Amino acid sequence: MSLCPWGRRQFGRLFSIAPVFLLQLLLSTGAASAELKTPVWAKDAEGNFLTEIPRTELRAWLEDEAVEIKALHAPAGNLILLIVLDVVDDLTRIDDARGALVEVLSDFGPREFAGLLRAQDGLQVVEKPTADHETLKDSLLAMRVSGFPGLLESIEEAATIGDRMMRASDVRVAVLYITDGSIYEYRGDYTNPVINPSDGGDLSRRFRDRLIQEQIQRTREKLLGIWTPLFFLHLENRRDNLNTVYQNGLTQFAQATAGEALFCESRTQIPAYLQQLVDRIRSLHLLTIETPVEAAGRVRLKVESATAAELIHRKQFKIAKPVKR
Amino acid sequence: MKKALEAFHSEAERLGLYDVGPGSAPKQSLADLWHGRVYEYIRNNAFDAVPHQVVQRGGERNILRRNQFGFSVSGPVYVPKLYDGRRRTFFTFSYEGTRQRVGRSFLNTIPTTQQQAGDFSDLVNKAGAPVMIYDPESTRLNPMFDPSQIVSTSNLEHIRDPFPNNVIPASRLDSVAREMIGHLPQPNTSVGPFLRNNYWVNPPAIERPDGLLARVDHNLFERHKISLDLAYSKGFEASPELYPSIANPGSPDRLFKGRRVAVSDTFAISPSSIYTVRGQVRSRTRRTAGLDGDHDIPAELGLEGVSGTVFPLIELKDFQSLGSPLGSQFRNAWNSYHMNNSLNLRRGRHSWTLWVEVSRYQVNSLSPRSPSGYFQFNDALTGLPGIINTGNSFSSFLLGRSYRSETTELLQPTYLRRTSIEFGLGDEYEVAPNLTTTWRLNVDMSSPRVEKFDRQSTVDIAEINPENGKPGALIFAGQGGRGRAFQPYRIRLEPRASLAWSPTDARDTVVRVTAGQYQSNLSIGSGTFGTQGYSARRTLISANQQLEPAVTLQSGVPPLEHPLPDLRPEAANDTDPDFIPQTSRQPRYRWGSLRVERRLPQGFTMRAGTEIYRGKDILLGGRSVGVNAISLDALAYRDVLNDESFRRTLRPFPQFQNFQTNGQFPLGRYNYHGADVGVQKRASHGLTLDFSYSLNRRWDDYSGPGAQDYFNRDNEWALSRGTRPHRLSLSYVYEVPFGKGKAMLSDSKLRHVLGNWSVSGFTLWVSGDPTVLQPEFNNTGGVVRFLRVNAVPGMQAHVANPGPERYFNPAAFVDPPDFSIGGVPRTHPTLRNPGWNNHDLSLTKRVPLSGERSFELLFQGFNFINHGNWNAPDTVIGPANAPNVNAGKIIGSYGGRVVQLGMRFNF
Repeated sequence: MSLCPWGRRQFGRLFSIAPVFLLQLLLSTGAASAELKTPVWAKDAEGNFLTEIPRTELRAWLEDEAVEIKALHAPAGNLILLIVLDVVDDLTRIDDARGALVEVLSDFGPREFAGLLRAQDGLQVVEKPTADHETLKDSLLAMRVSGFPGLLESIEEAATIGDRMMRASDVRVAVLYITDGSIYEYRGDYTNPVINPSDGGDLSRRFRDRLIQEQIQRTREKLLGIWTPLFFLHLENRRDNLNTVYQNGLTQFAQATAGEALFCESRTQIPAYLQQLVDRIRSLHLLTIETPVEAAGRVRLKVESATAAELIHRKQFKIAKPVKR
Repeated sequence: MKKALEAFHSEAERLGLYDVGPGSAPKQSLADLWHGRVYEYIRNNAFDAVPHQVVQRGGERNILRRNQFGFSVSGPVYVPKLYDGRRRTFFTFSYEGTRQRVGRSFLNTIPTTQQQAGDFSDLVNKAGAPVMIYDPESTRLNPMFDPSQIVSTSNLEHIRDPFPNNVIPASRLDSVAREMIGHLPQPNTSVGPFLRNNYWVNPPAIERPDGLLARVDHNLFERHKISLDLAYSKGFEASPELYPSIANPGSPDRLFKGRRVAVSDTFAISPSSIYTVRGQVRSRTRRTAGLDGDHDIPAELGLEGVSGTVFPLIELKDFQSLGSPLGSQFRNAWNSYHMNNSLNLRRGRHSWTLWVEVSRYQVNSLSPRSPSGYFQFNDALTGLPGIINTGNSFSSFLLGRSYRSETTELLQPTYLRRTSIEFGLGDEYEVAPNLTTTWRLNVDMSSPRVEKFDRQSTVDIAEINPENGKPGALIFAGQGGRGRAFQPYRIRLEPRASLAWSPTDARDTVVRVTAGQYQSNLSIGSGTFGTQGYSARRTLISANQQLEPAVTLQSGVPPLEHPLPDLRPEAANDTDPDFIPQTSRQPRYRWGSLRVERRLPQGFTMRAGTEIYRGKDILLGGRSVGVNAISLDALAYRDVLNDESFRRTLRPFPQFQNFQTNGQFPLGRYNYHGADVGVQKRASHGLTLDFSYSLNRRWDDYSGPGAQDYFNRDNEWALSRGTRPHRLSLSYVYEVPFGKGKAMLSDSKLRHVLGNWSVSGFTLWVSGDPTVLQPEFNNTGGVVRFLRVNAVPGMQAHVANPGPERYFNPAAFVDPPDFSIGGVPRTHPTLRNPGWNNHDLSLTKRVPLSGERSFELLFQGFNFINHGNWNAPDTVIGPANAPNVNAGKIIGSYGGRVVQLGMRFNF
């Protein structure tokens, strides 16, 4: 009696997630380590993104060992963009960002899916990825601005969802955070606030950024094992020391995953920067390479193109060690 | 696509991202839910360089023992089977304690052992020439005096006999002074020049604070975000003991406590409107241990007419004083209550903000300025009357002859109150896609301060004083038909407007123009200021500071003529009365700025800007305001000005001395021009850089040391004291490219030692502030309180290679002649004190542990290159016939490398 209804609910959940565990188990036993998917962008001499790169023109090396390119999915293919809103601060900028997002989504085609999540107070799904962009727009405009920033706590989960989708399919996936959070507004303690104001000899806070750095390093480590490219549009560039470090952290997350982070100095930049990021996401090529079975731990990746003037790709991955059977 | 969507669904479900209600989150242990850190920072003089100022005095160490420890934990409130607050209720709790003993270095001048025994045969002036002391009891009129000639050594109005051999006979020493000398230490060094800078100590200061921060926030019905914040801190501070006796001139030991409680609710009314309400209560108390003592120290010293639990303050010209500084004994509490409501609305292209804040301030204060008496001693009472460079303040003290004394009588604490209401309205409007404008208007209405029991008073300069029939008398709150306050209600208007424009299509450049005005509020104050009549500052002033004392220590202080409360209009006569300006003027600042920010390739951002500030009616203290000053024209009276009764007739309000304004007189002006440029490089290849340079100039008419000419404030206009025109800073973070997954030593075993290091640093170079030159002697009969020096024609103030032996040319300046003012500006227009620079470095080794855990070792070096910054040069000039030989020289440098080791476990 005491187990119901909790017991049933837990059993139901167990059954629903069992296939996922099995899938993960399979992925970790070597089947997944046999291939690696990574986003690639190619630019022409004028700096424009190319929409087509012949697969034969690409060559890849993992830890300086040439590896086979198994597939290359061009921007014409399926795309899932996970938009994560982490907005808590200035309504004006948030509304600007929402308006710009609506504009951007209007351009999306039927093969371009978008999902909507919110990061405040823990990651939540607002709209599952869908090609019904009108529904998405409605949800976007109806979202309330409340809570505390949640980017640092939710980024691993958001990236993991993208990673699972990339591993399970050949769909091009990207995560785009729209955020306005200040490090001072976080629920967690990253700012090392002064506890004893009378302690005039306190030098432990001279390098107050260390707590943020620690969190950034920890998160960056985890992102190395995740394939999803991360993009950030920060609606308000802040210049104080701690926010600079925090925003640098977002840049590092983006760099680690071959994504990009942009920081708006003023409202007028919000639509332009959002468009710039989305244009880049839409021109993403998904490259699948074969990885040697022994490849494990941190590995360096190099990709070259015979024709593209510039090739942007991820430089480093962490590959899980295959489980011995 | 189907597979991808299935993967999304299953992963989102696994992470519990769909159902966000209570209990929906996946099972996690508390270790996974709660995160935080435990830490310890250690500093010890064994790690440090011996500071330059200690080495230069022959010291071998500067004691430093510091332990700073604490923890912080945060996460959802989760009590298994009782309450599951995941996604709803969160907490943060932090504690920190510090135990510190740190040496502080002081180099001072105290009387020599000989002088303490009354033997002044070693007494020399700053030029090294012998100085005679004279017996004040031998003072008599000079029958040969020629009034048509100025007073000089050859034409003395009064003559005195020197003490034989410059020695005061033991029998002549004041009995109270003799008792006090027993608490004076002996010289222990001879830095010089001559017998100056002869006492060096390096005593420890002690601090023992403990504090905690706590926060709980709860999401209610999705729309409400409710937070409760608590802060508490208490502790003990012991200032360094300059003298190992009850006569210690350092600040007394202090106990303090601070508390803060804040509650807020943010209500998301709709996607485009947010309402926030916040209430906050703050309380801060500080008290010194001295007021709680049970010894009557003045009585133990034989000083009559004053009683107290601390040593009387003895101020000696050119020597370190005895006893605690003025106002250093107190028991104060500051409480404030705030309620803030704000509403943010987005409508079309407009974003409106509306807010209201009500604040109530309370200050409860028991702060006698000089609880055991304050006695000042000058050279003149043992010098030749009218002749500078004769006599000595310590010999005046040994004879017990104080030219001015002050004692504070206080019956009860004061309870000051004030209320303010602030309204604000603002709008941000999108004019075009690349242009936005913002305006905002704050209106603040503040009540004047009142005292809970109406125990408040001030001098009213229009009220007739019954004692002499002249304007200027004490008035009392709530008495004689007056209200509870003396000042009007004030309204502050603070408009502000700005625009942001992105001129390029790429929107990589932003130009900002901002202009506005703000007005600062008047302080509620603390202590006994504005309570005369309910408290008394008994001030005794010599009838002639060259001829006779106001009081002798042996005879003590006469009793108060009128017991407290003394609500007579003339109760403040003959004192430095408290003056609360009854004007509605208040400080006003106007500013404008132009800034450009541009994003550059490779993660660089460039910024540049310029700004102008204008300030008017800046609040000033008595040093800069001469409400009851004597016109400089009166200097023509020359030596007769030393006669107190004559001098007082020249004052606008002759029944009073100098007015006390508690830093609340709205009169000052300032201008500021600044420009800056900076480049920031966001993280790439592990390196982050931020460089900035600023150039500024600031002028004002009040920034110290004090006004020479109160009647012509334009003559006070000069570069601001403390303004440093050039400032260059560089901060950097670099992640060392060694270790697993890094560019180097990725697979080497050395990666365990050399991997996961990061380096952070901050470097600052600042140029020097303007030099303030001061005369050694001020023979202006008390008319000019802050005299300046004169420039010597044809002499260059700057020297070729400024160094400690000759930082500027003192021969370019000279004390002004007797009864005249100096012509050099208040701060020198081109001479600068030495600049300084500082370089801090932090090395951090991070050791990742399982899960979210990590351990960090921190090695932090402050001033890690052990750079010594020069002290300011000696700027006391002296007269042409006896110049200060030390002027223009720098005695030593200060600073030294401090190392802090830290350990932090993050979980």
